[in-house]
Amino acid sequence: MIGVGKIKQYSNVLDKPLSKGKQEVSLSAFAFLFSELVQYNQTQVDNIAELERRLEDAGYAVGARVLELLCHRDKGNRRETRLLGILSFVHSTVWKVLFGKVADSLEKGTEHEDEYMISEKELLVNRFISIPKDMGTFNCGAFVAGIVRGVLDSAGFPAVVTAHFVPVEGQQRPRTTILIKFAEESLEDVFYTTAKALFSKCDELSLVQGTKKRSKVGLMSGSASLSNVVVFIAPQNNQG
Amino acid sequence: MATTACFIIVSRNDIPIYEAEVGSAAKREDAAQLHQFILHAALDIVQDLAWTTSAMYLKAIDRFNDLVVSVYITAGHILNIVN
Repeated sequence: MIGVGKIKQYSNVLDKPLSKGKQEVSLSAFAFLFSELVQYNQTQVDNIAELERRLEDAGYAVGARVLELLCHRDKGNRRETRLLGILSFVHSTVWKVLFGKVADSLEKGTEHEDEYMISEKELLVNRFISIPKDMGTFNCGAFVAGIVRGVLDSAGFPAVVTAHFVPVEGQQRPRTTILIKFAEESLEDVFYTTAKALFSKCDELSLVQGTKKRSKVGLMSGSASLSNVVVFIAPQNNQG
Repeated sequence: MATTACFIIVSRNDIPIYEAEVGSAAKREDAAQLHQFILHAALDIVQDLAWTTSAMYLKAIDRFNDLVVSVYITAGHILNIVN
């Protein structure tokens, strides 16, 4: 027979490499399932905020599991400890696995330090859904926002994630933006770990963080062999 | 193996999910509690160390007398701690 390959037999099931799984799923099957999910939740709730919350919770469960799976499958057993790392992970790897392509763009918010935006011309989940006028600003992308929140939360970067329609000139359908607003504690890790790495030579180290509106002032005191060294670190921008 | 090893899986909110004693020695009542106590004390160290490295397996993060604690951290901060 031509082209018959040998299937390697593994004696121990733990030695088998992790399979890639089925790469493709029927789009119409998914669209049907998702529409049923939305319709079912519509019957259970009285208002739109509740509906959005339910879709988000459904997405949260997906996000938590997808993070674990992708870490073992695509990232070769490496965790993400940096904020920018986890954001680019969501933007490229998660999007590629879930929707077949990377997200259109990842931007940092200009007004606030803790806001980031992932935008997409049209979310896959919204492709076959039309929102009636009386539902206002409801966006079924709340499901995707829930997925992102699940990934970020499980990785240890708590955030509030929402989905918004952003009208674009020249296009009939508005763009969808996933707005990520990080909690205080996920931002300070970037600052703390880099500062700690800088001063790893000091004998005694205590990091005190003060918050002044939106900027953080870090105060570190370490005792060198001769004198006490007190250093103030005030981050100019997010890089600190 | 003269002593038993204790293996605990802990969720990201410090809730133990699974616990097992691995080893060949006869089970001693005080040893079981001692293992749990040591692993519990190592939790704080693990939380700090988790942010310094992106590796998943951290070897020998803590010692207690002659017992060594190692941990495997998953992406979702699920800790598999072994003594």
